[in-house]
Amino acid sequence: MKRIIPLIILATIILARTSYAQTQTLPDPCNSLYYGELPNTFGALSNASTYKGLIGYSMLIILSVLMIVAFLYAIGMAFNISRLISFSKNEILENVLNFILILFVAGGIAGVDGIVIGIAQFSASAVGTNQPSITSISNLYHSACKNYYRDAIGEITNLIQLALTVFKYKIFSSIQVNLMPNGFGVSFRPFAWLGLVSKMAGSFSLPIIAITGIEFINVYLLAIIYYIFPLFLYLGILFRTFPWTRAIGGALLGLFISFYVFYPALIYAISSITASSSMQALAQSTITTLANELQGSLKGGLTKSINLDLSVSSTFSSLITTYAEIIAMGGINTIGILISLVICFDLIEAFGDLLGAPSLTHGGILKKVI
Amino acid sequence: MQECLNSINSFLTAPYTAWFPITLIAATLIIFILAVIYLFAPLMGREDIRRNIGIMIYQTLFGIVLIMAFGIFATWLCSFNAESLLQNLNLILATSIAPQNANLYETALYDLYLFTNYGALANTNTFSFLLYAALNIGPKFGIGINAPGIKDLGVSVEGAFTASSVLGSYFGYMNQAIGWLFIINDLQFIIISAAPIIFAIFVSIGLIARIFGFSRNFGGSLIALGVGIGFVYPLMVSITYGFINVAYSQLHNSIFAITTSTFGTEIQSALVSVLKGKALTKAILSAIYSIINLFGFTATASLILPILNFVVVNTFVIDFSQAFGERLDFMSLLTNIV
Repeated sequence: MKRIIPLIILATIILARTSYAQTQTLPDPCNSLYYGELPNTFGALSNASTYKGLIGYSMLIILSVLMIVAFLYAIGMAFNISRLISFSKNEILENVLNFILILFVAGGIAGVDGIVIGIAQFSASAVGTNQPSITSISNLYHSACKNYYRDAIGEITNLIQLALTVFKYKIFSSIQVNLMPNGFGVSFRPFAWLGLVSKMAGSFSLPIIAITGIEFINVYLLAIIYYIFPLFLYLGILFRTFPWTRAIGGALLGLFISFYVFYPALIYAISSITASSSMQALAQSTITTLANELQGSLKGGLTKSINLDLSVSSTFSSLITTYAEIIAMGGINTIGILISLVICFDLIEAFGDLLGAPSLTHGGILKKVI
Repeated sequence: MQECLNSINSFLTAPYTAWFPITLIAATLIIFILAVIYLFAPLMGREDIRRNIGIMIYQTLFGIVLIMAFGIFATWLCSFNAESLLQNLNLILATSIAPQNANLYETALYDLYLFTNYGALANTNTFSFLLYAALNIGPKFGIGINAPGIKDLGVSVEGAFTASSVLGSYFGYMNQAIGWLFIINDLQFIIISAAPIIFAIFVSIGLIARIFGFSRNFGGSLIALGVGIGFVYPLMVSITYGFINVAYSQLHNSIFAITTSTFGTEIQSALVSVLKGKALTKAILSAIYSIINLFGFTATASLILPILNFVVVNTFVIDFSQAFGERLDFMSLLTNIV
């Protein structure tokens, strides 16, 4: 009786916990990242009113620089110093550009929002997918996040299935027939070859884990870009007002434009293609055809060379077909991330040239790091 | 803050590194010599020398202005209450160990420390360890069917019915990755701890070097490196890790919490779901998804943020060094060495 009471308590706790688990929805980071507490907490980071002082200072610096430059221009004209005249003209143009930039962002990043949404909708329509229309920038980030999170979760489900397959093979491979009455005779394991298959199946886990990791990192990378990169816009404008820090200001603006504006739009468009049912079906049929060819050649080769039961080659080839499909499907989405990154790096170079940031041109450090 | 001020002040005023008066004396001497050459150049009929000397005098005077500006900037940097600014933007997590009225270096150190010892990285490490231990709990199953009365004449099967035999290798990958992430964070700790000294030494030497014509480019590069690692890097760490810590504290309960308990469920439906096996499956899935999310979040924070911070610092150093002297791309140098 004493033993039964703790057992009943234990059973009740397990029951309550597991029953709760059944009603609990699985974690959804995308909703929490873009529609939960976070937007309220970090709303100030993307709100122009937060940077009112910073914009004010930038305007003051621009005015001061313009006054100094005008003075230099006057000296240049008076003494006919052509170098000073050309420097002053260039500075005046740079400051006018800064002034326009400040006017553009003074009312918030609503203008940027419009551009981002426009790019996303244009890209999605260009690829002819039936994705829901994007109405706000948070909506765009949320949709891109959802596409990749869904894929990552799908890969985890595949990993669990793969693990169970490996486990099943391990159990079967341990089956041993003993013919050793009184300790003398032979014993053999008819399914020992399944140990080899399980190792082979286990080796598929590494690419699936890599794909899952890249997709998960992309989910949270998008959030970091969404909340932190607006800072670069305002710091970039401030830095561009000083002649000596103009290049770094341009670099920050280049990073902002490439990653805050273009990256989510590209990711969304590309994930829309790869997530579309027609693309999935096309990829699946292509992979199946290729895998079947492989299966045929493998089956023949294995049967001839090992000369075992046909089940050995069938198991091998069906494993290859299944997991080649899984890896390739995940790979398509991962390639979407890589394509977007490459396009953004090229854009960074273009903006580096445009905004006078030498660090971003000629195959910058970002490419080397990646 | 006082420690930071002391470290920079002691460097500025220490008798063995009395660089400030030496620099000023050297600059004055250089300007004097240049002025003499400037005056005598027309007598020798060398107008070209005169023009060049004019530029050199301007550069030296600019060097003195920079020294003054550095003094003001260093004092401001050490006394600036970065914590209150970051607090206004919700970029610093209020805890019992949070420093009060802290400067940039202290907030950066606090953010990194919190992330590694109490935040996402620490929790991922703890959870993965506990999960790994839990996965290894389970029965080992073995069965042997023998002919009646004869030992070792029949069939036997054995297998470990622990979750680790199914998922063990995946968590092994995770544990290895966490170890590497700790190393990356510790490296950042070292750089942040050294940032005030790097700032003081590099910028000071750079300013001195900029006074002399032959070392002007080298001086400009050192100033850029000093400001990059001594100012931009702590600023980036404060912003990015502050964001990650606050975001983690808010997301923790909603998506990273591993199935928490509640007793308010109807027993009948619970029993049915347990018998069907759905509840257990969901509990396991929920735990796996939670730990994977936690790990994904931590990996992003530990991998992407250092890359982002270093890229911004390197961008700053390249552009700033080019404006002040010679182009310096320290990340390229490092990657080439690696």
